[in-house]
Amino acid sequence: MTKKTVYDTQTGKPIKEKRKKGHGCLFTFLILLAIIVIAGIVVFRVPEKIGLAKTAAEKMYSQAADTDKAALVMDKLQDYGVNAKGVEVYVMPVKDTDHNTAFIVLDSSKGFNFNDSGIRNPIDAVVAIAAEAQQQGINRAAVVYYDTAGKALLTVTFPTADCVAYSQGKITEKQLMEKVDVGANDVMGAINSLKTALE
Amino acid sequence: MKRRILLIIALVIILALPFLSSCEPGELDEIIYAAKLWAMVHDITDEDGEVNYGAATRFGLGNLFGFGSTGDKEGDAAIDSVKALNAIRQADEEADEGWNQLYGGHNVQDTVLPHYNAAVNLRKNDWTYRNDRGIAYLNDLNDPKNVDKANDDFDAAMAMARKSGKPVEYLRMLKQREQSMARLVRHQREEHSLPTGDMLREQLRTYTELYALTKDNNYLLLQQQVDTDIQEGYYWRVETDK
Repeated sequence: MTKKTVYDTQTGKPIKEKRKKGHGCLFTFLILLAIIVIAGIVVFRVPEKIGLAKTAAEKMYSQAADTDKAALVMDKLQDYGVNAKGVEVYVMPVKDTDHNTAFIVLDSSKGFNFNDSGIRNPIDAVVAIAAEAQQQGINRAAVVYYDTAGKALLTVTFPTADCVAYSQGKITEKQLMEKVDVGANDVMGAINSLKTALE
Repeated sequence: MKRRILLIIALVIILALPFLSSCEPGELDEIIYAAKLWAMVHDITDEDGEVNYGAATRFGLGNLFGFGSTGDKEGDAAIDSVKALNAIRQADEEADEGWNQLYGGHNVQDTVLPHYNAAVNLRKNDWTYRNDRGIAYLNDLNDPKNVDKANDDFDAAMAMARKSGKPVEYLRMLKQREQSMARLVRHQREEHSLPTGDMLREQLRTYTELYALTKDNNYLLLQQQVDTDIQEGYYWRVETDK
């Protein structure tokens, strides 16, 4: 189909067709919107949250747990006086490294209770296991607290080497605390649990 | 304002929640002291305990949306590990229940395997549950293809252990299988029962491989003992197993 040219009746010159406004603008807006949505999905890690992709932790801790090392850590905790009720230890090899992370689970839904936990001082407790853990190739420990409903609320993690350094007097308590990281796993759940606890 | 209050509440909870409901005053003091010290060295509060709103907001938002970083890849993974940890714990519970059913002598297909299947699905790259399910298959005399299925699982376990690139991981995998089988055989004998022939043959194969890898004479002795049991026919067999 050939395009029909319109001429100006006075000058005889062809009249240029005016470009329709609006579509280009809409197109740009849609592209921007798509970029924002994609960025949001990436930044907020939506695929990981809805189970479409593995989280960094799932990839890192995909290998079998080391039950022998976990038993040694548990023995050390019990030697320190920790009541094992509701306490679980998992030692996970870190993929593609010689590192291991020890997860110490304190699960209130399985009977863990600070009143009879035997944990007199949290810093002393972690220092007590750090040297043995480090000898076993465990370079990081994480304590994960589960509430009475079995929901993970809080994770505290630290490198074992710093605990050993603290126990040897090489670093101060403050320097040790700088190496401790805390993550709240469920802020809203934590708020609800606090409400319940205070009622 | 509401947002700020929410963040402060969240921060207080984050620091003190696990301990508020269950601690006696003496214990609480030590834990609160540690929490306060942590908040101070991370600039969330100053030395007088006054909240640094900027840092608190960053911490609160970081936790709320998962932006926070410890500055260390393994630290970040540990903080973000709950999903992985829950899968490990659930898989362990399923496997434990599978063992309970197997030790109780229950029907393998109906009551044992569903637990191991669940564990394998939860931890697809974990050889532990492949070994466990393989052992369960070896005890299923009602399934004529039980050995093939067991071998599929054992092969998968070996491939997973090899994939790690660490020889020690392969050895750990073999030892886990050997110990799980030895415990089960011991239990069966204590119950005046017998292991299956398929189990004994797998034990023999595993001891042979372990001896070849470690040159530990204990494995050689165990290998000879199992070989004798097989020769003397101390095992359960189905009619076709002659």
